[in-house]
Amino acid sequence: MTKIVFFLGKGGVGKTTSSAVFAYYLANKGKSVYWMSIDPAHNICDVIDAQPFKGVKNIYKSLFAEEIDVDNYLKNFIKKTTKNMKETYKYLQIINLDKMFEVMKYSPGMEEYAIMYALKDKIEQNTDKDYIIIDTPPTGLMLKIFALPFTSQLWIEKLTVWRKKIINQRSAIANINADKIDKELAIKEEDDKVLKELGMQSSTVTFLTKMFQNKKTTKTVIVLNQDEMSLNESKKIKQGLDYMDIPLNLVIVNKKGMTEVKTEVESYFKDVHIEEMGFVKSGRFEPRNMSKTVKWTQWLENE
Amino acid sequence: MFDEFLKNLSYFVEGFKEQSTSVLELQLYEMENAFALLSFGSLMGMPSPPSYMGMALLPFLEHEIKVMIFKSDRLDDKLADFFDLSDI
Repeated sequence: MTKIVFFLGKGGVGKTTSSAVFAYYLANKGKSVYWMSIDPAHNICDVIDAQPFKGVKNIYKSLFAEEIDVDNYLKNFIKKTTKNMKETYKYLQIINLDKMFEVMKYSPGMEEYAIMYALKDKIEQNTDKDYIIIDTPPTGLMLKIFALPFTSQLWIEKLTVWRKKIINQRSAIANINADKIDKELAIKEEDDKVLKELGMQSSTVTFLTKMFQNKKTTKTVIVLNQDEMSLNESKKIKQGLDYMDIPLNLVIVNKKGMTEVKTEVESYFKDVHIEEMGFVKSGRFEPRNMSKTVKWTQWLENE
Repeated sequence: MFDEFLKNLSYFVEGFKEQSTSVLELQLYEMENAFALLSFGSLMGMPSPPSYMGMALLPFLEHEIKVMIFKSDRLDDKLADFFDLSDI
């Protein structure tokens, strides 16, 4: 079964680096790995010191990397909706619908939505791999992405119940007097396009919520540094994960030894396994070499 | 003679039919209005459900939107609505 590992944390703590270390470690062990970044500000190519690339790229042994094009997912969604709108509302042709919807791209929640769909899409495409490693955007956005399927599910359930009531009512009226219901309106649940759309969305969000909460296959790792700020943000992540019932498996204190500051990582994350990764004082950080010396990778693999 | 009687009887039945669904229709109307309002929560200043969901449903809710607009149009004339309801 494919294991899915999320790397979470404050911006700049070393999420991408840690995920790179783990990805190379697994590839060296002969596992097939799909390593993706859903952060709109990608930096996989910086970490592996490569030119920016599009789509999936085989970067090392059986390690495949991809920086998800979130914008593309958004564009596709908007294109699909615009097309549907034009088909249904013929008179809208005169208005410049494309421009109107183009602006929707910047509406609150749209980016999270696109990332949510990208996640589902990419995970489904890569179920043949042993591991899927996900490098995430910083805390604020990632917690919203985690929460979106849960809130959506709530709404989809309620809207579906309402919609079914409407369809039942229509069919009841049509049974007595067929002329009373417009011929174009659906009177059977299976003919209703709204229910169909809700069903499709429901299958996506259920897939994601189940995946997030699956303790066997999904692992989450928080990366933090030896400072109060990243610790405080990590606490927020932990609270968010607890609220959504998503398990937390590992906390990595990255850049250990960079400062002398003492933090209370151990006292806050009592029930979670904590590991350290030392600060590389000189020279370039090479995830491929680092993966051979770091110890937490083995722990995470066996978890 | 008998045919005439049957014909009149059928008018009766039609009339009953007409009346029997009117309450159901009214209820359906309210439900469709509520569904449109729920789907486009942002219209009421409530940014929920997530905006993408409203956008995905938008192409299939022409009828509901019409009902919603019609209903909203008459919100300032509740008296007329009441008379309509009580068939006066």
